[in-house]
Parts: sequence; structure tokens; C-alpha cells
Amino acid sequence: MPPEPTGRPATVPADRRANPVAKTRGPMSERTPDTRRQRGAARRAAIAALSAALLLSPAAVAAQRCADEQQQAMYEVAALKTELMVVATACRQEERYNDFVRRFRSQLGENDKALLRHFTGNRGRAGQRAYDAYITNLANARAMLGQDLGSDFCPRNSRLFTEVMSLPGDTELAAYAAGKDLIPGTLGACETPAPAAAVRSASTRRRTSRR
Amino acid sequence: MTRLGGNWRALAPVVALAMLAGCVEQRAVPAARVFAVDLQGGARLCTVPQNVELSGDRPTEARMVIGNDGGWCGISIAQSGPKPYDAGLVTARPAHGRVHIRTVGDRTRVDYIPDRNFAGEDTFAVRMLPGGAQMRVAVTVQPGATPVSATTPATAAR
Repeated sequence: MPPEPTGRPATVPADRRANPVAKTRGPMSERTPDTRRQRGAARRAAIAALSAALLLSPAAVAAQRCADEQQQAMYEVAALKTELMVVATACRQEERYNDFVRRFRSQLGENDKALLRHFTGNRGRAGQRAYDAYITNLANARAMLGQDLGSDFCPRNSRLFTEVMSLPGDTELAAYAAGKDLIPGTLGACETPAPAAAVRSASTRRRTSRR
Repeated sequence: MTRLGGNWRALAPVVALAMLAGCVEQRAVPAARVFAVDLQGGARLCTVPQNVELSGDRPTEARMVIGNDGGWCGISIAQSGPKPYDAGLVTARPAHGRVHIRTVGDRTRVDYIPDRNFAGEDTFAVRMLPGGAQMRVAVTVQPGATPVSATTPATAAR
């Protein structure tokens, strides 16, 4: 987690910002213990360092898009879900987030699986770690962008709930997400090797230090 | 004099009620809020049609010319009222940029942001809800010079 800028109102409570990944997996009233959360501090530190690097490095600002439209849509739906989670957490609108997840449960579940498959491919556990790191970075980036809005964040971005719930059906979710421009330029889509490499190197350091 | 003063006293409650009614009316129809962030970061060169009226019968065609300095260029549309659309869907993605559909005050703005260093022609299409009115936008992206910072106010030609 990058250091919080001073002098700005925090839009996400510190306890929620500690691990945004867990909050993106389903309705907030149905949280279940995630074994991945219990992994070592070294891995969390690696993800935090990576987040800071990705969010602050000018070289990483160019946004990458997927060549395949369906893959791009997967990233956009994931970014929409993450943004709504951040809004819900920061603006105390958990019930609206839960309504969103309940309504689009099928679509969101399929999207999560497809995105995970896209990350894992034939990379196995490294792909899983890359997926986790990407979702974490996505949530952190959205939260930081929210901080930039200050007191405008809640009244402005809460509209997203009204908009998304006005969609007539599940099939419009991807087309709606495509028009929200929610993938941070620092992360892009379909560009995943860096998170896996960073987490892997952290794991390697941890194993080395135990010897 | 005395009679006139009495008339004024009699009218006073009516005037007060009228003034109060005016206040109530103002509260009932609040102005739609515009957020500063939605006005920042516009491209210096942005030429778009002023009054785009969407039709439910057939897609509306629009043209946009933008200078690629990292900023957005947007077309404002609205339902009658005016009031913003409930939501917008991207039905055809641009090949060389991104689309951002957002509420700005009492209107919906459809923004296009070209990819860095792209210059040339691009197209995209959106469908607005409710009603399903469609808009197809043909974009001409001209080479830009200095990147627009996030805090630069929009100075786009409208």
C-alpha cells in the first residue's frame, strides 16, 4: 500500500484498505475467511511495493489494452466491480454494493473465473498470484484516485450504483463498463508478467532467509 | 395615508407567502451538480457539434475533431428537460482510444480519449438508456504537442 498523502481526507477506512482483494469477491455481508490473506508479510510487502511502483512510476503510465475485445471486457467488468466496492466502503453504501452483486451475481462470477483463467493460463500458481496482485493494485489505484476527488468522491461516484442498477439486464453490464474508463493507466489490461515476477521474487527472498 | 398603510399591512402576508413559495420552488428543482474533475483535462483542440439530438428511430451521426495532447473531447447529450441519461453503453469500441460516458450536471457527456501518439481516423458508437437512442461518432485525431495535466481546465472549443 503506498503511503497515504497527507492533508487529504481518507476515502477508504484504513482497516478496509488493508486488503481490498477480499472485498471484491462477493457481497459484503457474505465475507468468508480467505486463506490467501493469511500468507506471509513478505508477500504483502512485495505487493505493496509493487503497488507503489506501478502507481508512481512515470514509465508505467501508458495504458495497455487487450487485443481481444472479450478479454478487454473482462478487465473492465472487474474494474467496475472494484470501483463500486471502493465507493461502497468509502461512502458507507455497502447495501447498494450488495444489491449490485446479488443482481449481477452470475455475470460477475463468470467474469471472475474467466479473468483468473486468463491470468493462470499455463502459469499455474504464478498466475494465481499475478491475478491477486492485479486485483489488489486495481483496488489501491481506484482508492487513490478517489482520494484525489476529496469530498466530491462520494456524491459523484455514488451515481454509479444508480446507473448500473438501471441496466435492463445482465447482458448490458460489459457494454456499460466499457464506457466508464475505470482501468487505471498505470495498470492497463492484458499486461500481467510484472506482478507475478515481483511476488515470485519476494517468495524466493523469504525462502532464502529461512535457510 | 392611513388607508394606504392598512392596505400594505393586509398585503404583507400574501407577499411573504409568495416569497416563501419561491423558496420552496427553488428547493424542489435543485440545479444539477457539476464536479470540477469532470471539467478538467480537456483537449485544447476539440471541435464537436453543439446540439446533438438523439433519435430513437435511427442512429445519430456526429463528427469530432480532437488534438491528441492527452485530453478528452466530449459530446454533450441529454434527455428532454434537460436531464442526463440513466446509463450509456459502448456498442462499438474505438480502435485507437477510450470512451468515457459520464454525467455532467443535467447532461450526459460522451468523451473520447485517443491513445497516446495516435493520429488519424477512429470511430465508436454508444447506446443510451432509457430509450436506446444510438450515436455513431467519427473522430479525426490530429497530432498534439504538450500533454494536458490532470488539473488543466478544459479549454476545448464547443
